[in-house]
Amino acid sequence: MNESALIHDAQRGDLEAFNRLVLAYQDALYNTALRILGDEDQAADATQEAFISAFRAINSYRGGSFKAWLLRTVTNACYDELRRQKRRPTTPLEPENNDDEEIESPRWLADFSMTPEEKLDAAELEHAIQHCLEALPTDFRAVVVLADVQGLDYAEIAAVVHTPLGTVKSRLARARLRLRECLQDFWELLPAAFRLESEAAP
Amino acid sequence: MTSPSFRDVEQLSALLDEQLHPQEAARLQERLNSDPELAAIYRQLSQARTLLRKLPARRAPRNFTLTPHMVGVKAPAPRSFTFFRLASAFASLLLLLTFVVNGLGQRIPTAPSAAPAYGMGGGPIAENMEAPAAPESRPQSGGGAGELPAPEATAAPATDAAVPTEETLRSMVAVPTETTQEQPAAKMGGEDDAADSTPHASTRPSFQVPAWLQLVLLGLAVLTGVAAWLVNRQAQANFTRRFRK
Repeated sequence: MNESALIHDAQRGDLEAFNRLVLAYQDALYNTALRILGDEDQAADATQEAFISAFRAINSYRGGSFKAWLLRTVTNACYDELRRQKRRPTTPLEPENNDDEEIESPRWLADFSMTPEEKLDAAELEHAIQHCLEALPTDFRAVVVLADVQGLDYAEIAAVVHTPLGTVKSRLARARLRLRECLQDFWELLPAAFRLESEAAP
Repeated sequence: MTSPSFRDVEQLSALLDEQLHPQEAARLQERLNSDPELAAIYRQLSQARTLLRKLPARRAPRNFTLTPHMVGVKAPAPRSFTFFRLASAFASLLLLLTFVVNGLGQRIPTAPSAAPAYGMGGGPIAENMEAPAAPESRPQSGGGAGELPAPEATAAPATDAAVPTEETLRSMVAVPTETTQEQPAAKMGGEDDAADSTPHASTRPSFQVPAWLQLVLLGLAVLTGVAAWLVNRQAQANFTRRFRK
């Protein structure tokens, strides 16, 4: 895929070219939205909104990482959604069925390539991390998702969230500390494989 | 050895991400080796980062590709559409012009002969102008109503204006019949010149766009308009179908 050619065509109004970019980046945008919003449907809506906004504003793209530029649109869409949520009644964090009972294994946790044990481990881990992510302030959450889920560098994150590099650095450190504190409450619940002392001990 | 500050935590987080300057990184590594508290924080940050990175990547539940409808994009108009649209507009304009020309053609030739006739009190325009002036001329031409003294005649309708009596209504109805009867009389009374000039004006040749040409233009305007609409609709349908695949 020649990304710059596709971007150039999309800037001239070629929707097909833009759709090829959509297919290339939709997983990244959806995952970012899912981690920031914590809800599958809202994440899908935010992703769709982000792509629509991106197409309309594609002429404002002036080079650099296109992925970071797209992540900026999805982060903005997530912020909008979170602002809307503040004005509306809150929705439950846990997926629930029609009887308002928590679903043990929601559909989005299903992965048929895993053994039942692995599935359970992955589900517990995901559940714990998502819970702790949602406990973070929105700005911290966005930064830590962009850095640790999407793997952006500090400069890209700064461009995505419109904040100075120093602020990104500070938010990321605080977010990681808070996540660590929060995850300690789930430490016993976490599968043994994830009870790492350290990934990179000095 | 001092307790780590938040600045140290920031540096440790940046060290994890390899975002520190090599010199700063080397200095921090030295401190980490000698400071167990700092090393503990580093481990904690690293654990949090490791856990986040282990989050399973979700696949998008569906494709988020855009349709023309979503972004308000229309199919580029085909060349034939532009041609038909322009042809339709041109034919419509010409048709409009034929009406204007025909309208002017009817007025222009009659105007020069009618003007002197009006001044002499005759001609078709003079006849038209005569109708509103009839009530004024009515007393001169004779009749019962015209012989009433002026002050009384004007005062009586003013007082009875709100509730018209049977007499006033009858007189109002009678007025047009008097004037219509008077007109031939007025013409008879020495306006032969004007009467003579009227046939001249009507027989004088004036430019008229033939009706068949107007019909042809109308047909062209409609046909090319419909063709433009059809061509555009087909283009839009093809464009939309391409994105539904």
